[in-house]
Amino acid sequence: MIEEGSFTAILTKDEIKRLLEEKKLIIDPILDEEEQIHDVSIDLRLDTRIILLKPIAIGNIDPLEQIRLPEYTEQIELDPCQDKLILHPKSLVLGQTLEYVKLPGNIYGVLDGRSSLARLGIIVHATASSIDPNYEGHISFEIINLGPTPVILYPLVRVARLTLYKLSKPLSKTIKHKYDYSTKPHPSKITEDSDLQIIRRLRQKFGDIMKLNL
Amino acid sequence: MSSILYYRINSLLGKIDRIYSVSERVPYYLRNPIISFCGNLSRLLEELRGTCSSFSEKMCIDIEHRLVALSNFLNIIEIACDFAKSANRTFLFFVYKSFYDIYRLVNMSSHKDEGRTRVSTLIFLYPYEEFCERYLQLEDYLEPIRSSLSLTPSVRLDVHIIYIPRATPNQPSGWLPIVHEMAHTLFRGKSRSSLSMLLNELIEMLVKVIDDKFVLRTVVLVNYMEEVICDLIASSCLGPAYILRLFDDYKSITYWSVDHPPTYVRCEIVSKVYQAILQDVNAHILSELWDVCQKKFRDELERIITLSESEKEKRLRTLLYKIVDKLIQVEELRNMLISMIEELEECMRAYVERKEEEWKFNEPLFDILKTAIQKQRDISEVVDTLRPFLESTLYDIRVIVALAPLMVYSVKQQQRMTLEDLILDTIRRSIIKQAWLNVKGVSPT
Repeated sequence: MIEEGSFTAILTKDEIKRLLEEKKLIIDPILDEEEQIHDVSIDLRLDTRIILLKPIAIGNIDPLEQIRLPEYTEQIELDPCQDKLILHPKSLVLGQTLEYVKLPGNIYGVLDGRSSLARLGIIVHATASSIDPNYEGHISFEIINLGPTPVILYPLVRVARLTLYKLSKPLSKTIKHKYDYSTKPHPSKITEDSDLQIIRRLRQKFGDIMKLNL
Repeated sequence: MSSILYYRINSLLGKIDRIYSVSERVPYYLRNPIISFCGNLSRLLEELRGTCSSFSEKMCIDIEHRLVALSNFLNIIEIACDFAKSANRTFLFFVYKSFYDIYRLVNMSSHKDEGRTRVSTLIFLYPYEEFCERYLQLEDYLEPIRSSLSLTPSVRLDVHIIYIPRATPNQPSGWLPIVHEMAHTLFRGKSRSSLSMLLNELIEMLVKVIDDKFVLRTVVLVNYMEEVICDLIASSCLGPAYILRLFDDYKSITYWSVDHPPTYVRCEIVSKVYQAILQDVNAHILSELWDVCQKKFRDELERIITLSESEKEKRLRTLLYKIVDKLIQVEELRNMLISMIEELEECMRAYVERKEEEWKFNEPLFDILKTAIQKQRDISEVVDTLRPFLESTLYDIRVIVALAPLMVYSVKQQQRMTLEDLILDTIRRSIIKQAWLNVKGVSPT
């Protein structure tokens, strides 16, 4: 039987504010607290640092091969006072939150897009929306335009919504996250996955045998 | 009351036992005076313990106060013993709650500054002998102890005492002047050597060439130059944060004392010389921060000069600038300055690399440096160590600027720039927030 108070719960506005005040939860900067902190979530803004993906540069992306990042990606920094980002239909860019986020060991986050933008066709953080406890850094996310027309995005606009869940017990920081302490959006680090190494070796070693068995 | 005294005496005797044991690692020429002192003190304390039950309350309180001072002094000796072996200089960092604690410790008179008592937050630095001779006034009951403390000139305990206000560890910017004080100890180490002689000669020559009508004792100019050189060393090690902190905290010091030029003159000299003489030493990566720093105090500098300077002081300042201009062209001096910076870095590294079991203090800066300098550490551990500072400095651009060079210094050994990214990112976010608040009309800046 689960004891009362021991199960996971979504943090409310007051709890978020209290954690921020106590500096157990770091979200920096919150430019407009009233506008950003909602009843059970907090809005996050688009940072000035963006990664553009250049699909034309390489034929395909093979996670088992080293992705040649310079050919595949381009880091840009938008001037928050002048620049804008025009997102064309079916295009994908990597952005990050303006806010530097640090979650304590007992808080798990879920980053989602805002419905106002979704209605324009803009999908933010299309998948893998979970932010692990103890994560620290800017949160990178994908921005996709699924709509039929180009949409202009400006740095510092509210693009994402972070919902925070309190865990029944805190997790110690033993696992190092690939994207911890990030200060700019990172392209995929999928090639660093340890199980992909195994898959690669598996294919090298037993590829022919498996084929025979089939 | 006598029971408190009894307890205090027992505690001091325990401390003396500890000193006996740790002093074994101290070179014999330092150990002899320590053992002699402890022997005298031990006998006196045992005598006091035997008779204290008959003391009046007033007498007990009086002795109790002196024993507190003595206890602190024993701490100094104990720590000196702990560290004496591993460095040819020992820097003693003492953290005091307030000026009054220092007063209690050394029975020091309050500073009287233009009719009002100035509770100083400056870091105090005294050579060991001066400390013993001038400030440890224990004539009455403890005269035998005082006499045993008078070291002969041939026995020099190369210990410098740097007093740090208790709040300092919680204010990283407060650590910056420590480097200036450490530079003094290096300078004085060289004072009998070529640097001081060279300075003397150069200044004598320059005063004649520049302004032979101006009557000012050369020794005063040498004092001023020592301050300026220590400022240069500190700003070289710490970047603009040092000068920013100096100006912010001590800009009210606008008078010319025998030892120190006023703060605005020091700031301006360092600002002028910095780019010319220290560019290739380090900190060129911090040039943008330096610009921010200069812009910050330039306007106020003009105002201070206009308001506070007499004609005589103006001439003095001009003379000092001329001397500095000439001095920085002297290759030998420049080389010495650079070598002192390197020596200072070595001292800092030696301090922070001591073994864990010998670690006596828990000063955050040195913990940071220690963590950062130890090789083979994961950078995330260093980041974790620094985390509380980053968190406590959100939006405070001044402290961020002050912290940045410290952090950059701390990671320099590892050639890992993750922290620098983090610092610059913090500054970037801070600027965005300031701009946002400005547009929203919340902040006037």
